[in-house]
Amino acid sequence: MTTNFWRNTRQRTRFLREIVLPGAIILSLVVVLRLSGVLQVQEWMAFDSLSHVCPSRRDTSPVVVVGIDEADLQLVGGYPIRDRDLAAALTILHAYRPTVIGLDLFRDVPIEPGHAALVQAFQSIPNLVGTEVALNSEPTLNVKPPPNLPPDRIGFADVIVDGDGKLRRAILASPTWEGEVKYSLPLKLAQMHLATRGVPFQHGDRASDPLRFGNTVLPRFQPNSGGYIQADANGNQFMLNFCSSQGMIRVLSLRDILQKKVPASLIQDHVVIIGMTASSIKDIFFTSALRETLSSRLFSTPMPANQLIYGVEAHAYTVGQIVDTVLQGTSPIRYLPEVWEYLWIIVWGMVGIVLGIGLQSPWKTLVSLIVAGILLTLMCYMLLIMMGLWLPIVPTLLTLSGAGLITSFFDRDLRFELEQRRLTIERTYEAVHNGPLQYLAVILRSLGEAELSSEQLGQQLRLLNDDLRQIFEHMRHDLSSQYTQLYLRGDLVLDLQAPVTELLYQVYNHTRAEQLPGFNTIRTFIPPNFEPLKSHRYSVEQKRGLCLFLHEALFNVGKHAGGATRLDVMCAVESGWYVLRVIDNGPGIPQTSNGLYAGQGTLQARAIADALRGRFDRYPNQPQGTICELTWRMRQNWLKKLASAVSRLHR
Amino acid sequence: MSQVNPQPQKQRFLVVDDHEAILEGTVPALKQQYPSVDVLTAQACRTAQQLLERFHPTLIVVDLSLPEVIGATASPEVGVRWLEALMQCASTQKPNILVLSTNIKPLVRLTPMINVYEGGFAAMDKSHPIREMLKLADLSLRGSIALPPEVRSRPELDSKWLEVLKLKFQQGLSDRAIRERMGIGERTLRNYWIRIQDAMGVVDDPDMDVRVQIELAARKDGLIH
Repeated sequence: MTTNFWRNTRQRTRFLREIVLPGAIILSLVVVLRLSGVLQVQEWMAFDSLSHVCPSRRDTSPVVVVGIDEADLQLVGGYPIRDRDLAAALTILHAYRPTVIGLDLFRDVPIEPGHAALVQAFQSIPNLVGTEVALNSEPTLNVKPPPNLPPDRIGFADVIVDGDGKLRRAILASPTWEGEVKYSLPLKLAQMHLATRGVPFQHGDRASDPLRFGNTVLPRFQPNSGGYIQADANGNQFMLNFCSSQGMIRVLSLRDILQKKVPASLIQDHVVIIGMTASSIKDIFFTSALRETLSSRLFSTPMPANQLIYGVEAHAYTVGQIVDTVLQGTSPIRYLPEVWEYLWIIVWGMVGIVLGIGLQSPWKTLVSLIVAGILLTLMCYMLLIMMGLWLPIVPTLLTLSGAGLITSFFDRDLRFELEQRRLTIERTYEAVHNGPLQYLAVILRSLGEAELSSEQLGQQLRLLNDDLRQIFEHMRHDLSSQYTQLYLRGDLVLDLQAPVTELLYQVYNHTRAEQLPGFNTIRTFIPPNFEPLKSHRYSVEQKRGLCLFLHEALFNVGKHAGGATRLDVMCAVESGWYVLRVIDNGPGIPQTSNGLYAGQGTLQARAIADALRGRFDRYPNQPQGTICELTWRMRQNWLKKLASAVSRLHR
Repeated sequence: MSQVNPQPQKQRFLVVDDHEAILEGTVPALKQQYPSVDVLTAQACRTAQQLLERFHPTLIVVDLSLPEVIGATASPEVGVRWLEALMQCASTQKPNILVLSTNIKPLVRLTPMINVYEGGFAAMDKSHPIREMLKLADLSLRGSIALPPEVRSRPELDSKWLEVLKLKFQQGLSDRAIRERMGIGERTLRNYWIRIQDAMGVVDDPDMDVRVQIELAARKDGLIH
């Protein structure tokens, strides 16, 4: 039995090596690819695509954009907007009583006429925030803030775009190259808007310190957040949740304001941002996560994946999301810790491997992989909508399908190989049987019956010789099979692909033929009827287990039950449990004679019972003898179960 | 075919083998041993089945390795499947069977079925001499079961036969009552008794009552109380 144990171990390692290893290699390859950043762009795209199909928002945004478009420019005499018009617009807006006004236009130099009026407006409107460009290392690339605004009413307009040129995050706070910590325009606007709602803003001395509004801390973007690998996460950055803000931004035009054609409720208690939305002024970025942007609204046909998003619009999204996060508890984009992300990827890879091994037909594997992929995508989508969670989807889909398919492929390959071997043996046997053995039978019979002339004999033998040569010319294959055969003591080799009833009967018949003390006294062998087992399909391993159990149990009778006169082998279904019972009326197995061998036999029987999720028992027979019993319950085929349930419904 | 009216009194044997050489050896021997019997031959399962349904032979001598139809490849699987179907079918006149094959091992999986089969069943390796075959044909016609060690390594007592013993000698039922209780036919029970007799090693002796001998042997072995 020790050899069996080793054979099993060897088979298990072979199984791991030949079937699990390829999947594991694919899995680690994907992990390495992700770690190297190769999958970054695909992950961004997948994330954008999921955001793109998020449902539109029902409620209104706390932010209104006053966009200066081409029509406005024509009305006020072109770009840049003169200070006079701007001052007029600001004064009118202020009268509508917004919580805060953001001016996303650079006013570092006066643009006459009307500069005095603008300075006047700057001073008389306390909730006005101006902008600058402050984060470039080259001072000449920076744009100074309006000189008439105090520094705490200035926010920088710098943005950061990803490697694929798309906008996905906003810088909220950052140190300048001089080391001074500054806040962005959107953060300033959100801070002042929230202050009017009584929500205090707290922040440490360094830009990277947590940004806290009341009890809410904005999640800080990290270099490896979500699908990002080694991204520039300087300062305090915030990922835009386009999923939760589809269709959020409302826009007014400058002329609406100047002509006072705006209902006051649109602006009162809202954040207003004034900025350029004219195509002649290039303050634009790309995004593919939004279904609709201010620029795409001008087209009647839906735009392809890439949308243009104006700078002022991006600021509006940022402000809106910070305010919603703080006031309404809307989820910002969240990430799993990196270790969990990789665990998530590995777990799905394992799901793929299990599907590849478990489902023995490639079609089933393919369909189940597709279903699993759809489930995975849906899960990621739902979690994004409900919790703002960004789960890795591209590497996960890759491991799932890659590991699943490669496992299925290798598994199938191995099984194909075994099937091939079985067929070869069968064909060889048939060939031998139908040819040479028939000749031999004829020769032997004639030898026994009448005299055969040596000439006739020679001729027959030559025929036999030719026949044999022909066969082996066609069958020069390695016929050693390790998986589907069972070698029992003696010369019995069982092909485990045969029906279980046949195998068990062969074991029974073969084992009791052994010259063993227990068998020689037996007068009555009650042969088993294994038919009850027919109702289920058994795997090769299950068959192997049942055969080994029967062999072992019978062998024990032969060895230990000296003087037994009767041997019953029973096979039955008893209240849903399958029972295989070997009953003798010998002296019974002494309790103390548990040598190593007996121990191994019992261990093996228990292992077999475990594999079948059943039980192994050995107990005394009445009035004398031993009963050795294996009980198990076969898992019902769920398809069969379903069919029977359906037929019951029909009735 | 319906015009042909087989004479019911006439006994017929059917020999099924796809090898001419075997047929040429077997058929004359059978004819010599049983001069009054008509011996039919078939070389494939399909034709054998047709002859079987038409003439209801009392004995069939069959190879396991058979083709489905003449010209097809012969395989033991085909023969075993045919035998299995034959033994299970609901026909009223089941033939006694003698299997004659170069490899009779595939029969192992039929043995539980053979024990409860209505007719006699014998098997032997083709390479054994003809007189051996004639002896087995006799046994099969008698209703016995005669299987070589590679198919049945030790004599056995089927649980059905054990039931017959119990009903007879523990409950004292008549043969008719036993048949009704077990749902078997007259010929089946008669053959069960023959097999029990074989299994218990009770020999025919004009001075002895076979049933009583069986009962004594069964009590001695502790099969009945």
